[in-house]
Amino acid sequence: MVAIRTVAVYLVILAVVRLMGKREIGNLGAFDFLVALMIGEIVDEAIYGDVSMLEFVVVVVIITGLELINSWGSFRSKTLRKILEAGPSQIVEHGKIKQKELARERFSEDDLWSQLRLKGVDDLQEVKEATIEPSGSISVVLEDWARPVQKGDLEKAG
Amino acid sequence: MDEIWGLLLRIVLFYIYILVAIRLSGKRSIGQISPHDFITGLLIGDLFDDIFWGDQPFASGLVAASVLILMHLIFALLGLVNRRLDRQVLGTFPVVLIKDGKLAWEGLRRERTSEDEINSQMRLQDQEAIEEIKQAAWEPSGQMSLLLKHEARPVQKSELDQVIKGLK
Repeated sequence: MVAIRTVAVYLVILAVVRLMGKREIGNLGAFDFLVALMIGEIVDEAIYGDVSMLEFVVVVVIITGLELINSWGSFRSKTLRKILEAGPSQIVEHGKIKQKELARERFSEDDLWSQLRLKGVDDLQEVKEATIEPSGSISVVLEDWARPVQKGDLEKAG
Repeated sequence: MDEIWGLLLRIVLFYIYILVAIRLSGKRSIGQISPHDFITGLLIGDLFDDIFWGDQPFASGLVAASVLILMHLIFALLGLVNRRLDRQVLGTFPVVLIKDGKLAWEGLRRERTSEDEINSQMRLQDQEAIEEIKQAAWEPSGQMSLLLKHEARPVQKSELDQVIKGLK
């Protein structure tokens, strides 16, 4: 029985993951991560038979449904997106650290420098914008004069 | 005291079992994770606690974990044998989000990816101009791939050498 229930649970979860789309696998935001944990946490009772398959399917369908509504909503409406997920917050603009944003994100200047070093940057002047992205990672875009040479640049010169 | 020893024994045994089983299933790392790898990991992770606490017989845990790994192997093998099944059932196909410097709305809608999210992903990969992107896609692993147009690609050493040679 355990074996049969495991097969059934596997197939249900496979369907859920396919429905949710690619981002849910490799690019989880904080809340998506919680939803994945939530779903992960309910499967054992179904596998061991502590709850019926029907109950399991109901719970999974509801969670998946909410998650789909959520992601559809944030795709469609910019306002909803602002409310539901923390937007990007820019912490460096044209070589200047925006202390207010930094404080709001509880991000220290040391943290910022650490992130810049990880991107191979040690001169703040080169940074056009550094942003804390919704995923929690830091992005760094360099000033035009500091970015690596592109083929287009060379062809124009030639 | 016996309870603690039992707990210890169950944890060690189950840990070793999963370690061996995962090694045998041939998965090296979670770096290259596909939808069905993700599921198997998620589900196996959830089996442990009931076994550790002794809420379920050890045998149930072994059976459940074995079946999960078996299912994983079966799907992986089927995927290797049949490309179409792999793509359609397991979803191992990329979804294009930017084509020739323009947003591909069909893909964006399909994956419910907003323009803001694309911009965020581009910045994370040191890009900011959508016109410079030849193609962006969600890969099956859940990462976004960016291919730059020719003129936006980094200059290669050989090209620079060519120019220098021309100057001389």
